[in-house]
Amino acid sequence: MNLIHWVLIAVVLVYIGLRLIPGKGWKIAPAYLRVILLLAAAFLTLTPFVWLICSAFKSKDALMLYTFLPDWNHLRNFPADATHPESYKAIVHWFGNDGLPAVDGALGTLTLANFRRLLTDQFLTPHGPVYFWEYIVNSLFLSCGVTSINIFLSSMAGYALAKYRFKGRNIIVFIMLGSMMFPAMLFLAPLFEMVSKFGWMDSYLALMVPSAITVFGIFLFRQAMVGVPTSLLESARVDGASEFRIYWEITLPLVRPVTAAYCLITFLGTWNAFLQPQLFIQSQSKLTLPVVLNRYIGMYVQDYGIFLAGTLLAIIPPAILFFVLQKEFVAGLTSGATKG
Amino acid sequence: MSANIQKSKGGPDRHPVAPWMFLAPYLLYAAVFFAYPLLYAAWLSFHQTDGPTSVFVGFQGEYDNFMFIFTDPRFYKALLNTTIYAIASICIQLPIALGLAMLLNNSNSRMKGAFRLMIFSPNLVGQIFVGVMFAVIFTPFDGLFNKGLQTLIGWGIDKQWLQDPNLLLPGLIIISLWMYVGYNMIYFLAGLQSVDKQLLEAAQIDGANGWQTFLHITLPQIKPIAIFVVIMSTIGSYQLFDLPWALMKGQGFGPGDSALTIVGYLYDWGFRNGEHGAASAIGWILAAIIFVISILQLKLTRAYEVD
Amino acid sequence: MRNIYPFGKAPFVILIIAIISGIVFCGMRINELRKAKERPDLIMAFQAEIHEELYREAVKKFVEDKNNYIVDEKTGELRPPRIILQRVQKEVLMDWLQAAMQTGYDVPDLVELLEGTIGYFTRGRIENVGFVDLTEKLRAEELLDEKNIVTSRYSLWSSRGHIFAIPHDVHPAGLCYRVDLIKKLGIDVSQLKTWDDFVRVGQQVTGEWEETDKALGIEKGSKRYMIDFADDSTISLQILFTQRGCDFFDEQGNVAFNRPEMAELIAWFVHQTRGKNLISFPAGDGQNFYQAMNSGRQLFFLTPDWRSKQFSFDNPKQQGNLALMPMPVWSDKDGKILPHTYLSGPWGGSGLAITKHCKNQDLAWKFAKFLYTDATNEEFAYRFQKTNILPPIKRAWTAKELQEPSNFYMTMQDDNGNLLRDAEGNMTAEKLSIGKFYSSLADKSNGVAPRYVTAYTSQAETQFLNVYYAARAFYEKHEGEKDVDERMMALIKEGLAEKAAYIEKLIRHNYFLSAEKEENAAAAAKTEPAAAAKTEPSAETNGSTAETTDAAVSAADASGVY
Repeated sequence: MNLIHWVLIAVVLVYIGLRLIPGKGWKIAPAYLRVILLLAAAFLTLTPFVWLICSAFKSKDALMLYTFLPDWNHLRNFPADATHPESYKAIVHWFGNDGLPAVDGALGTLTLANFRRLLTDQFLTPHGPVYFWEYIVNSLFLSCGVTSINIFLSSMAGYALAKYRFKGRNIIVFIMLGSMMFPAMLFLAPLFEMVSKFGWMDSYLALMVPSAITVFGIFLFRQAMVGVPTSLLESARVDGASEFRIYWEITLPLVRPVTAAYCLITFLGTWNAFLQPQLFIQSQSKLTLPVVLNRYIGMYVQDYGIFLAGTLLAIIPPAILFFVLQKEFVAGLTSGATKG
Repeated sequence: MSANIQKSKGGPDRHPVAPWMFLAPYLLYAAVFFAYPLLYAAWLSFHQTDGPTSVFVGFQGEYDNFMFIFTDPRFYKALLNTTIYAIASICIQLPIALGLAMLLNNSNSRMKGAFRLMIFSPNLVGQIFVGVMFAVIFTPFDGLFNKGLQTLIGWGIDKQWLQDPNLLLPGLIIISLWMYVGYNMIYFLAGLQSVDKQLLEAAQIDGANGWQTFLHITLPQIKPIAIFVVIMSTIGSYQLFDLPWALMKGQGFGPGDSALTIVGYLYDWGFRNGEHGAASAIGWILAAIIFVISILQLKLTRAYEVD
Repeated sequence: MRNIYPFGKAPFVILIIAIISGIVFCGMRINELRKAKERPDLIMAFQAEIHEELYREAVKKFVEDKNNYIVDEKTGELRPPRIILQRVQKEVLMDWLQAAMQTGYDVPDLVELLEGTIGYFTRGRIENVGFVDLTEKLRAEELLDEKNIVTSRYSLWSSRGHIFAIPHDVHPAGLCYRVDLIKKLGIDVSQLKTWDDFVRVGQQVTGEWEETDKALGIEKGSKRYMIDFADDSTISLQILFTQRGCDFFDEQGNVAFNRPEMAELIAWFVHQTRGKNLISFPAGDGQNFYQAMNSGRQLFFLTPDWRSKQFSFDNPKQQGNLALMPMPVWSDKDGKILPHTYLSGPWGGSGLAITKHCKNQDLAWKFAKFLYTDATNEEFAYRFQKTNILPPIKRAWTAKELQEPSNFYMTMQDDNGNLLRDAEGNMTAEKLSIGKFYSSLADKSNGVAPRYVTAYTSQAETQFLNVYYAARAFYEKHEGEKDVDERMMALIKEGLAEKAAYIEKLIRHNYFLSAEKEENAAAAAKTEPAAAAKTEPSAETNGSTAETTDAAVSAADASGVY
């Protein structure tokens, strides 16, 4: 029986209490229950994140010592220095061992050391040292580049399938559906050979071109564009617009939610990809974030602190993007799916 | 720009060229990056390679790739693991996602947005990061998860989630629950929004309780979305590879192959044993399995058509 | 916005970011291209960070030596060679090599490989292995001679008798323990000479914490274990069974784990890791591991030389408190070491290989020797000080840096293995010479066990572990019943036979290996009809399991490993 158990019992008792009160209490009860359950779900979902943030700031030897943050209560019983009983008080060093702010307790330290090492770590190559910011540029370029190209090409194909009736349309749809059933891994080995034959090995062409179009995107756009009234297109045609202009200036703006949703999905997928970059890129200076961070956790080198700090940094761009695109993301994703 | 004089409603051939122009990038892409690799893989599945040389092994007894795979207990273990994972995804994850969506549906919009963000956020973390994070979280004795379990229900401090062959798959399911429940919840949320409110009110007036309303009104109305989510979930589950691979840090597939999925088995053949022929064979077999299951699912859901 | 970019605001921002980062990206690439000089003569790929600094110095020296000048293709004059050290991330290195070997594009000239990785490249015919066969070259330099080098290390880099890389290290495993805990518990480490002794003491020691442990900072409520064996991978198992004289494969690549000694080892391991009398619990890795060490959860840790450096680097607060001792040996009932067993099993290793794509083979071989085998004792000593890694070249062991005592590690035994005592007769510790310690394990002919690696090693590991898991589950369920040990042993033997048959089937499935075996047998049959009958392969027919197993065992005996 500990604190958590008491809290749970209290919550349940409040609910029972509400149900028993006639009238207003009884009406609030379902809403109360709903909030409690959602809070529980949010709590469970967010706990690993809280842990992640705490761990990124813990020093190497303190990582597994405390679940979250160093325990100040513990410190009070075990002063750092027995001859100075007050030394349990947390000491803030504005310039810790590595020149950065640190908070020191008797055991365990909160430092920025992980981030510092991550950002200043050099990987020596024949071309000179490679720094962390270069990986971020690489990842940004790859993700944004692929996203920009992808939404363009996929929406084009989706438009064709949605707004035209032509012979062979069903065959193409069938082929597309079929292609989704094959695991991506199957294509990896033939892709190897092709990439090296084309001379794309160790080049971003090998990463960007195979991701230039995805069938999921095509179907998403198709679904959304089917909802665009044909009359709009017809009147544009009457006015003399070319097919491409109709697509570009009329249809596309109308499916912005879907575009936003697909943007996020593609960005996420490319940003977090590690198998293809690891396979096709050999120069250290061209590697992307996930591949690079992997290097801190191997059999002979284990530094989870740095890896987790890197994870935290790696979450920031997708988080920003999602925050900005939230509403459109939900609207876009689901408008495509409601029609099944 | 010359005006398009034909104003007739037109048949399918009114724009013979335009759609093909729009489809051209995809067709080129499909030919190079889809058709060719697939056919090459099919060809490869009947061969064995040693560096540049390849040898046709066709159906010759012991050298035959397909024969070996179909008599390999590891293949069936991978199949079993993947299927259990897929079933758990559908039967555990989707109901929870639906439940959360229903809870969220009736809340006011500010709370809704906040909770939606929170529950979806795990999806923003890449699979490789999740894998390593949870490798640390699932540490026996010192890890977050075991400590949490111990505090809550007084059990589990020494459970080795990643080392015990019986606990690895449940561990994987828990992790993927964390990652994807938000994603599926959003789909269900949209589906719920299209449920006819008038029907719901009518049901309430008729005195139906919550469960009956759910079963007879809500569920049928979200069927299209539900089917979509189920099929996407299944296909995704059968193609699982990144998460168990990252969890094991690329060192094998867990004790007793308990984290071996079919794609993992493919990877093992292709990049560990270096036999891309066998790997290609597995890829084709997996595609066939997914195809069959998808067809089955579609047929089954049609069978339950509510009038 | 609507007129410029129809996709939306956010996609527009993404496009801008793409363009900006793309410009930066191209800028970086152009910068690199500008810095790159002419095509180097040798590119050496490796992954260990520590080797970066160490090798850079060596390259400088090599390039300055006039004896190493080469004739320039264009001008015809002698000039210093251009050698580039390319450090690659470990995962990337393997992927790169695999892809490069397959396509022939962008293959490095020299590669420092990690233990176990040679198997992938030897999965086909010997002629098709992408690395140069160094056997004859090494023999010419007398480097196959036990008096110059620890020859058992070649086992990691050879296949079917052909050696493809020069070993970098020896990596014998010892045991590491905390002096304060051992003293407090009153354990006489000089009595831990055999595994039987170790297990006996371990069973006494493993158990709940005592109240007085708190003073040592040991968590209350936790258990204490004698040793940290990994029970979800073969890391610990492989040290134990190689020390015992068994292995997955023999020198010729035949399956060799279906043996009674291996079965006994698995049963022994089950007893140590499960059940009421266990003595081991895995401590994990990284921060978890140090947490366990510092809280005293395990007393002993398997520690090869590289790991001793890791401990001193990652856990500095244990300075002067950690001691090293040799592993217990496998003995018979009288305490005598069993024949065909070793003092220590190896853990890990690197080796330097030359790829066939290398255009300057002579230069590459010269450089490889310079770096690995012909390095001066001073150079080896310098590397040792940075890494604690014992080189396989025996003359280097006499260097004073390898002999001098360490500032970090202690020992509680003298050179004869007797316990050290201070003036009052209490157990005490004194500084240990790491180099002396590890070289004493490697020096003898039964010092460090060999480890043979083939393309199917990782598959064998998986299957082998499954036997262990099944035995372990059985034991947990039936512990305490009578005959449980016999039944478990039967289960293990059955499992080993089954898995051995599976691996053999896997090997037979490999067309190239089977074809090669056939051809060799046919060639041998022409010259020596009698010998051919003994090693006849079963590639053509669906050979029976028993036949193959017998052939494997007899081949194992014949190869003289045991």
